[in-house]
Amino acid sequence: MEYEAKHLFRQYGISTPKGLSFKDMEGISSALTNLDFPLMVKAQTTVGGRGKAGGIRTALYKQEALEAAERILSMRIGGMKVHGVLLEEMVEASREIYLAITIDQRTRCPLLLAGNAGGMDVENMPAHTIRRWSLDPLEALPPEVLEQASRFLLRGETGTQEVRSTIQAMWRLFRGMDCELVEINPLMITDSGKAIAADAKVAIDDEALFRHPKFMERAGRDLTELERLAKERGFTLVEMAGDIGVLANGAGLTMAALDTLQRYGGRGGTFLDLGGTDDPDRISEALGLLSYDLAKGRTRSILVCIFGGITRCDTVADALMHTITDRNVKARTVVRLRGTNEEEAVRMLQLANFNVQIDLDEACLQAIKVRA
Amino acid sequence: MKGSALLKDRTYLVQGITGKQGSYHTRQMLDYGTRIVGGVTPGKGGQTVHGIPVFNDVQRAMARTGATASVAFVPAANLKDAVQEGLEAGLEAMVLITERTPIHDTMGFLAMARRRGTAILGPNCPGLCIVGESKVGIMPNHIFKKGGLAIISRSGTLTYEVVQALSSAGLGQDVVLGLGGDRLLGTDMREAVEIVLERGPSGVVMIGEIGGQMEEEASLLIKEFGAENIFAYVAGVSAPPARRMGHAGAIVSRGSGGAYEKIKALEGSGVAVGRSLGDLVTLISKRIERP
Repeated sequence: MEYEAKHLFRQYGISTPKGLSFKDMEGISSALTNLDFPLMVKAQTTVGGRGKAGGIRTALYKQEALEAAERILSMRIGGMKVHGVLLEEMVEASREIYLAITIDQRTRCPLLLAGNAGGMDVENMPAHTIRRWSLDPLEALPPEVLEQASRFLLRGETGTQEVRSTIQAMWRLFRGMDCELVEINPLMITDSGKAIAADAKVAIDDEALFRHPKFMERAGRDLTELERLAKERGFTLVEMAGDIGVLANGAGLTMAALDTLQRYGGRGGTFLDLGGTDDPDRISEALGLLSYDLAKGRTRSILVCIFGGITRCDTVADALMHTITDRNVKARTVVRLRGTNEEEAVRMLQLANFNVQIDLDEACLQAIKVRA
Repeated sequence: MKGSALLKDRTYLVQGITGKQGSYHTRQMLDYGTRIVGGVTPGKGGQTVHGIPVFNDVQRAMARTGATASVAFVPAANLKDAVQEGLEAGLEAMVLITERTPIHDTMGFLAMARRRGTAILGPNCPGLCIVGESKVGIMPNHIFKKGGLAIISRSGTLTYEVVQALSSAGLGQDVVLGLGGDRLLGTDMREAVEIVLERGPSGVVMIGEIGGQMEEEASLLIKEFGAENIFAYVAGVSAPPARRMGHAGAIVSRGSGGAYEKIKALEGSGVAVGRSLGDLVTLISKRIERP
């Protein structure tokens, strides 16, 4: 969120407006004496689009700031509750620019983006106002890139030194904190040539959180109850809008199952990627999560779609027979197995009265049909 | 071309051979006929795994066995060091099975590998198979059938599905390359298409998924080559728009990355795209002659 990103910015030497953040209304009133009006009152969320949703307001006096804060704290933006509110002194700028460092999949290298028309939605910035430089991940920032970027952004106006040191600080932050993205939109250049980050976005790589334990807990804060339960058990589970729960192994096969359901007019709901396990207890645990969802009524049928490579089909069949014993749950479960020991697994499941399929398309049709 | 170093007939080291995964898959690879000649686990030098000698470091393992390539099963936190060690010792090709590697680590070791001219497959990949000769990685041994097709995939289990379905339909494979599911890959789809086309396959099957622009770039190459008998499947048409990457990601990949954009780009280059897995196999059966 912005206030956390700005905390990192300050640690790495990027200036931000003077401000204070709050989780609720407590303490805002007394803290306002420490800030000079006009103020920006900004919703703190983990999703984008808060400006359009009314999550950013200005306040000229105390009562206005309190009202804006109260209103914002009660909002939901992009389906997520607002986590807090940031009150900040407004910055007068002679120029607003855009800066970002991200990772370019094609070159497999960091990419510096600079835009001389900051403040607007980046996707709407005209192409000629943005320039990009591919950076070597093994080297320091080349002086000529800093030179070219500051010249492009400021066209000789004051602030060159400040813009350069801001880019350098972004680079240190990008590398030091395993960032997938460091973005400032806009960076305000004041009359006296100061550079101040009015907004801040930092995305830290989830897979690198073991190196940044302080940030570990933040990763899971927008999860639903079921997603949190799954995460605690080491599964990838995502809740989508549909009503067919999907258990598959591997991201690609999971997606293929969801695609096939859609093709026949069904909609995937909660889906769980089993990954590459051959441990029957893990499979039972995963099935347990989906049955729990079925009991709650959000999921109306379950599609189990497994390719048995390391995970043998008979192991999956065994786990299914032990976990799904309730007749109603079984009636709403469709199992589709391919791969190692497929014939054995199909025979076992048929004997136990499971709806078992070999063909993915047929299994998806069945999963749509057996919804209760 | 450096990429084809991946498909050279050669002996292999297993980095992380003493771990559960490393040991299990070493057995599987040996059973397939892959020439595994040594293992590397720091501190476990002198042991053996399935009769294969274990060394403390890559340099010693290379000197004693003559191997010039490795497959790595090390934990994500150690992958960067393991790759760096392999590169410094002079390995020509590395296959990285390890999943959940921090992206900055991958970015760093891929840059090092480019400087040294070492071919990398992965990370987070199922490996590769030269059908009937050598299998490196974790693909199931029994799914393949010798033939003329080349399979290139970003997904593990989907690859197995497709390969098994092709084998059952009598459509054999020459090579199967599992590129990996991570955002940054040592060998991307475009490079993989280049590598397999050199072998003169009877057809190329690409299995892609949403995110990035690999399929779009591969389709540009195919258009340029005017290659025939190229097939594809793209997973993720039902996926909701990603809520994760911020705006910069959107600028870098303006107007692409979704499954429909990829399918459109591929079809625009003359690639036959299957709308489902079954559909894909049917398309291939119609165009490719069985031996």
